[in-house]
Amino acid sequence: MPKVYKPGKVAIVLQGRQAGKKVVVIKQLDEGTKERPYPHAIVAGIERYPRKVTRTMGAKKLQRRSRVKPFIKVINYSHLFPTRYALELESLKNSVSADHFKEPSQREDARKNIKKLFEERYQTGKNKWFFQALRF
Amino acid sequence: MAPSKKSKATKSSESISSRLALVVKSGKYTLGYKSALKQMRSGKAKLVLIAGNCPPLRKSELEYYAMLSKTTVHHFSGTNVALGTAAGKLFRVGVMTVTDPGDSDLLTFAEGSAA
Repeated sequence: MPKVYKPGKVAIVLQGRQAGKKVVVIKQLDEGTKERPYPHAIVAGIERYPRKVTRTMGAKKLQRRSRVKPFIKVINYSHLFPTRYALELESLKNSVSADHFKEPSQREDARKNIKKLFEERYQTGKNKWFFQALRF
Repeated sequence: MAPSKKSKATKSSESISSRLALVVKSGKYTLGYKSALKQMRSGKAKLVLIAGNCPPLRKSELEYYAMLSKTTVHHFSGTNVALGTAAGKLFRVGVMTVTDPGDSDLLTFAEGSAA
C-alpha cells in the first residue's frame, strides 16, 4: 500500500487561514520531528490565485492579473486533503527546507523563489487545475 | 436462477461477518473515520469497510482516499449498528479499517467481490 503524500503531490488545505487553497507537497515528514511529533509536510501553496485573463486585455493588464502570491507552510497531514493531481517541479524540491521557517527573512526569500517558479509554470499553461481557485 | 442468486448474496454477507469476527479475534483493526484516514495516509490500511448508512459525502471521501492509497473498499451491506455488532462491539461503527487480517482470508474475499 503506497503512501499518499509524495513530493510533488497537490493537496488542498482544510484548516487555518489558508483553508481552501491548493498546495504542493515539497517534503513529507511521515514520522514527525521533535518539535512536531505528528506526521506533517512542508508545502508551498498559492495564497492569491492569478486572475482570469481574456484576449482583449493589454500586455500591462495581463501581467498584473497573472501574478501569484505564494505561501510556505508546515502542515499536519490531517489538515490536508490529497488529490490525484501532481505538480512536478525539480527546483521546488530544494527551495524550501525546514530551516527556512526559523527566520521571517528566510521565509521571505523562500517565498520570492517560489513566486518566480509558480509564475513561470503558470505562463506555460501546464497544471492548469493547480492555478485555478477552488470554488466552494 | 433467481433463488440461487439470492442465497449466494445472503451467504456472502454472512461470511463477511464471520470473516470479520476472525479478524477481530486474530488480526489488527481500527474503528472510526479519523483512524481510517490516518491508516490510509500512512499506507497501513489493507481494507476499509464502510457501513451502509454512512453519509454519502464521507463515503466518497473515503473512496477517494482509498483510490489514492490503493486500498480496497468494501461497502458493508448493513447499517453502522450491524457493522458494530459484526465487530463485536456494543456501539455503532460507521467505518472499520483492517490493518492486519490475521488468520482470516478476508482480504482475498473482499478484493474478489470488489473487482
